[in-house]
Parts: sequence; C-alpha cells; structure tokens
Amino acid sequence: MKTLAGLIPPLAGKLDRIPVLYLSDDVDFPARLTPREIVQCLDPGAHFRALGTELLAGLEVENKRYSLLSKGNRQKARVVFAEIISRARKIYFLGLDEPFAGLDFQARDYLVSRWLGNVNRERHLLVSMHPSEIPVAPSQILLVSDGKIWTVPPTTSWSEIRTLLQTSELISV
Amino acid sequence: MRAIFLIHLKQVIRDKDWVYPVFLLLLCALLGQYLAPTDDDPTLVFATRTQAIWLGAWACSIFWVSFVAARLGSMQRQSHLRGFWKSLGVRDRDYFFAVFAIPNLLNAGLFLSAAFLSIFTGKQLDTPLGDWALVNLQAAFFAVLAQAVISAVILALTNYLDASPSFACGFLLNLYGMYGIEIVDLARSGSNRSAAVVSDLLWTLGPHLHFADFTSRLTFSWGALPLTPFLNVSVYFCGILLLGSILALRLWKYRPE
Repeated sequence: MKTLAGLIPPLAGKLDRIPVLYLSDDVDFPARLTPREIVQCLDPGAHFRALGTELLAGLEVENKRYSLLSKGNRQKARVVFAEIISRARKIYFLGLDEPFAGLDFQARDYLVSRWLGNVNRERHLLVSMHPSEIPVAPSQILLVSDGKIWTVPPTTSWSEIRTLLQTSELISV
Repeated sequence: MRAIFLIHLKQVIRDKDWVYPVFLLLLCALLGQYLAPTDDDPTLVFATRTQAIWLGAWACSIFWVSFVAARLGSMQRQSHLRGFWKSLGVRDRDYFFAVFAIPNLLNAGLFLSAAFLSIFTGKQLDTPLGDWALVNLQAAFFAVLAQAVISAVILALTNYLDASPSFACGFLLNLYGMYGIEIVDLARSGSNRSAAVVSDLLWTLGPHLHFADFTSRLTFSWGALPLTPFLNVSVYFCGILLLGSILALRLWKYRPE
C-alpha cells in the first residue's frame, strides 16, 4: 500500500504514480481540534461537509477535541477524514491500513454497509485487515502471491487460503 | 495546500498561546514609559514606549513565533502527516509553503500590531504622523522578512531534528544575525591579520538581520529610511530569503519513515 501511495519505492520494477490516499493507523491530527473542525479544514470548498457530518454521526464520533477521543473514536474519525479529503482532492484510490482496528462491531457494520452500498466504479478502496476481522462473506477471492494472481471459491476458509499462499511456489511449478 | 494551511492555522489559534504576545505588547504600550526616568525628562515617554513595544515584538517573534514554527514542523513527522499528505499527491514544495505561511502570518500580525501601537502611542509630538507611520511600517516590513528566513530554516530542520533543537538553531541564527555579526565586524578591524580575513568572510556571508531592527531608528526618531537604502535592504532580505527558502526546500524533502 505504501508503495502504491509512493511513500516507499518498489522492490523491483516501476510503478506508474497515481494519487493514492494511504491512511495508516498512526496518523494523528491536531489535538485541540474537534473532528468537525478538522473536516471543515480538509474540505475548504465545503462540498462534502454534509457527508462528513453524516459519517461522524453514523459512526457516533463525539465532537470533542481529537486528543480527548478514545482510540476507537480516533480511528473512526480518521476513516471519515480519509473519505472527505479523498473526495475533496478527487483521489479515486483509497488505501486503508487496518481501518477496523479498535472499532466496535456497530462501527464496522456501518462502514462495510456504506462501502458495499455505495459501489462506485471510479473510486477504489483497498483495505488491509486480519482475516479474523473480515466482517462479510466475500463474493470473490483473489489471491496474489509471488507474481501470480488466481482465484479460489468464495467459500474457501482462511486456513485453506493460507496453505495455498504458503505453497504458491508448488502450485506455480 | 489550503487544507494544510487551514488545519494548522486553526491549531495555532486553538492553542491560545498567542495570548501571551498580545498581552506583552499591550503591557509594553501601557507601561513601557515607566522603564525610563520620565519624571526627569517627560519627553522620554514616547521614545521609551516605542522602544518597549518594538523590543517586545522582537522578543515575541524570536521566542514565540520561532517555537510555533518548530512545533508545527516537528508535528508533521511525529504525527505521520508527511506520509498522509504525500500520498495525497501534495508536493514537498507546496507542503512546505503551506506550513511556512503560518509563522509568516504570525510575524506579520505581530510586527504590524507593534507598528500600530507604536504609531498611536509612541509618536513624538513634533514628528509628522505620515513620516512616523512610514518608518513604523518599514520596520514591520523588514522584521517580517528577516524572521521569515529564520522560520524557513527552523521548519526545514524539523525534517531531521525535534522541535527543541530546531528552535535552538533558529535562536542561535537570530542571535548571530542580530548581535554576533557586530562582534565579527569589530574583529575585522583588529590587528590580527588572519582573524580579520576570517571575520571579513564571515561578515560577508552572515545574515545581517540587524538591518531589520529599526528599534534605534524609532526610539531616537531618525525618520524613515530613504528610498534607495530601503530598496537596497529590501533586495538584500529578499535575496537571503530566497537562498534560505531554496536551502529549506532541499532539507524539507520527504524521507520515508
């Protein structure tokens, strides 16, 4: 994800640079500003403030100073900021690094239902997470390993996928 | 770029430590006259007030604005905002100028406030208001330019150092440019030939920030700087600001964490 976002160079080959928002869970915003104020600053044109307010309300993020928010609320706020800034800057590729870390089930469900309910062919979301945190049954599974890309049935369990990924060299042989 | 500027400007406003310089400037305007024996010579009231206001403004810029610049700069790396903005396609140059605008805005506010206070509370009775206003505005203009160089250097250093050492470097550069260079000037005319050559080189290279300090000119009512020297000094400060900005931009390059 960092390579896609241009933050670290690729190990080999070249990558065409396209704007990709990379949101890691260690990004912090000014401590004394509230999430709504941060949204206002990130969207100076005020085109997506209503969306920001809706997302903050939907995720039940309290409008108090960023430093006073709980770890989970900060994470929720970060995801909202990523949504707003990417729309304000017309970034169509979002890379979210473990966005569900520290989130309650309600917030996870809210985000997933929003993401799956607003499918947009122009906007792409790349999310990394631990298999135990995957909140929905996938409609497709695509495996990428050692320069190979292949699919497996959606019903494949994580333990089977892991075995497949570990033995990908054998498969390719 | 606008988002970066807005978010950090709002942060500085919300931090509320701008109250201290405002309070100090008002205190200097109200009580500055008591720093001199005005009972013996009542005409000293205005000069002393002016001196107190401008010294207060310089102290606030050197300590407070420089520290704000250091804090803002170091926050970018510590909060991993560099990577966040970089991934959004914000170029290093745009990022730098978005953050750099904030200390400059603070310096402009600070020195223009000092000029405003000095114009209305420090004017000698026999000085024409237009001339007095002009010299105060010249003082504010040069002070902002001189301190912009320091802010640029401090911000750039925060890409490698924490806030405190970056601030210390800016402070030392201020100290050297304001006072140290005068000591170097004395060494130039000394009897030691090699020391004089080195001092001469240092004097030539050094940032002559003391040109921007109009406190004596204002205190002793020497009047506005004539056009030609004004333009010369302006070009000098724009030149060192340009050099400082180029150096700062090179140091501000994104470094993977």
